[in-house]
Amino acid sequence: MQNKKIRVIKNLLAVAAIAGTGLFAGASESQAATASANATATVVTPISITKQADLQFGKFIAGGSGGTVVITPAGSRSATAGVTLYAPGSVQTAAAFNVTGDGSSTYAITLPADGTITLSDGASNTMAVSSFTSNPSGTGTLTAGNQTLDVGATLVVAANQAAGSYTGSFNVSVDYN
Amino acid sequence: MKKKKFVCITAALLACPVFSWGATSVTKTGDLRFGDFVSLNSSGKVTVTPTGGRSAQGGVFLLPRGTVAAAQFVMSGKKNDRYAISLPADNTVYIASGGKNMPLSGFTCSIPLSGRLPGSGSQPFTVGATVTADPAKAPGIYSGNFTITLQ
Repeated sequence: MQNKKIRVIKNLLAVAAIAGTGLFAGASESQAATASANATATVVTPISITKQADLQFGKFIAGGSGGTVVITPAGSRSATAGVTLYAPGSVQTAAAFNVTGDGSSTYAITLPADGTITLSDGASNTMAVSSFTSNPSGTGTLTAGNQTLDVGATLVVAANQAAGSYTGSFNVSVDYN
Repeated sequence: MKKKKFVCITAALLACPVFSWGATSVTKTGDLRFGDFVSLNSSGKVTVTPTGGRSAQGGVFLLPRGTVAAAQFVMSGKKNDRYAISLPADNTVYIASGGKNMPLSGFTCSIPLSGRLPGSGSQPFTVGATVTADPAKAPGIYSGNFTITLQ
């Protein structure tokens, strides 16, 4: 009787030890459950625009009726209606900008709206600049982070516009797409 | 002999908690993507929420391009298994490009960090975080790994 009792207690101790080991193993196994994920962020070079050349309409003669002087983004000049181009000593150029930024990104180009830009002779005489055009137009694409942006426009000349030198300024803005 | 049988049943009951303790595995199914942004002349932060939304604070300008996504995981086990998710502590994970790096902080999870598995025994969840950029952070593709732990 005494002998049997001891054996039973021994068995019970053995089983308890196994259960304890199992508990420990189970706990440590659940602690090993991990997963890794990758995280990425792309920091992009800011886009910037720098003026390289001004927009110049050159010399012309205003007539008895109004007209326009047009400079294309390529820099060629033409006149309409009552305006006569005057070549001697005239310098006409399209505006040029250097756009810099990230790699081969595309960007949106915003030109001045019609009716917002006016040239003045410093006195009371003015001429409106409208119909801005650019090359590239609308959307530009950088190559190795660079692109030249050429801008032309149309100068509106009144009949018998007063002679003089007229100046003004305009902004062109670029934004990443 | 009868007493022996009783002992065995007791042992089985003791072992029971071992098998119901803890979801058993977790698998990554998607990475965390902050997308593209410009770093301006002041410090800024970009946050991606567990639902994949993105927002900026301070000197960063978000560009509407690049992939934006919360990290995705699935944990699995048995119905009603308890789980406890541990996310990385703030500023212990960095993403790097060349010699430069940016710390991640504010890890957030789409589900409670502890609970029980649903009837299917499978629980998908997503994790978002915030990346901090120094003023005028050098351009580049910053990348790094983070680990979540499941108990």
